[in-house]
Amino acid sequence: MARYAAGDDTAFSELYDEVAPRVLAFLLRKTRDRERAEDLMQQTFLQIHRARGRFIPGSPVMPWAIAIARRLTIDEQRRAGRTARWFADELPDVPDPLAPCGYHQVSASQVAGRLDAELARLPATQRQAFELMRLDGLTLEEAALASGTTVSAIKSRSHRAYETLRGALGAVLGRS
Amino acid sequence: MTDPLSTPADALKSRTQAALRREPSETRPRVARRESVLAVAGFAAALGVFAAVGGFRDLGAPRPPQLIAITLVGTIVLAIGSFRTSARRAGLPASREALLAVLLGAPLALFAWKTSWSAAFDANIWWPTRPGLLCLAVSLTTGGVILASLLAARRHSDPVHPHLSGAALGVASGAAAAVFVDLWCPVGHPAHVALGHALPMLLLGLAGAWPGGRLLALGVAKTLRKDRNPAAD
Repeated sequence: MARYAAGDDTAFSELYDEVAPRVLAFLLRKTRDRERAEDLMQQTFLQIHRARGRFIPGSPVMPWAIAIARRLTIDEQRRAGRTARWFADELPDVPDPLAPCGYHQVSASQVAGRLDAELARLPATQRQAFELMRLDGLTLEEAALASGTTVSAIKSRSHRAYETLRGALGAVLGRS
Repeated sequence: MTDPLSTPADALKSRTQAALRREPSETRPRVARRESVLAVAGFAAALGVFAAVGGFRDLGAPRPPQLIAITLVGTIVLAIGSFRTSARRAGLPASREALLAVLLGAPLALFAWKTSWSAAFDANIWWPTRPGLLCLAVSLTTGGVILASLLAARRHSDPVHPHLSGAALGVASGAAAAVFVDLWCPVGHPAHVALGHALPMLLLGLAGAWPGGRLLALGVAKTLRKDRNPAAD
């Protein structure tokens, strides 16, 4: 990124290969729509390109890219007049994993569905902290940068989210 | 961390690269140069306003040099601290907590510093002819030119909370203006300091929030729209 910021256009390919898969994974989770996610990813790279002169050499790229992708997602949803239906509303009918079933076995997809539903119930700040760290793989410092808050705030939000999810999903995982 | 589903297709990479070739962008050396020029221009304009309203003066009631030095050092430290706290980290804006601390803490700190030291030197007398309106106007003008230059310098740099960043920049600009206004105004009465010195910092913070939200936020890239709908041109 430092080379690209300095004006070396050939460095873009390397940057893209490093950043794009994680940005796309983030956008797929947010939009649940491949076409929209790819569209937003292209816009994210356009913004990175436009703002490359503001990149500070030595800084991590991922928090910056995720922050841009997140902002574009929010703006797109606002423009489209959509409500922020992050998870639960768009989920297909997922069988209740707590309901009695054949051999009391809970499949991975059921646990994933339940995790999504529980994530949707978390306060937005906790959900964001949990997602950035556990799902997007950012470090504490990177997650704090991407969400515009302090490391200690991210740490406590992520911890509270983790404890809430563990409490809610513990019974499901215990049965499986 | 990623799975095959989230692996971007090569075609998308090619499309993105093609779009980038049509999108203007400045490199780091150019941005650094432009930001420096704008910041220096802003402070030079503020200095011009200070000179135009008469520069340093004592209005016939000289302040002790120690009081001038102490309040001046305090306001300079406050201005530098406000700018440093609201400065970007790793290319992204400062944390919400840091920006709020500047927004709410800097005006209070200025008020407390100036009034307490004025009281310590018995310089907190009330001047009926100077309630603080002139200082309010000079503070807003001086801080306004600094804020305008800083907002221009930091355009399209905040994808996280541009309104809050704009507000913190406004207060930091007000703190910088307070350095000039402190040299210009010897009055240390709490009511005067509140109206003429601390309030303008808050007002500049409010003034920075709205344009900040527009100017500091990410710009709109036109390239993709044209790609999707060529007839739109």
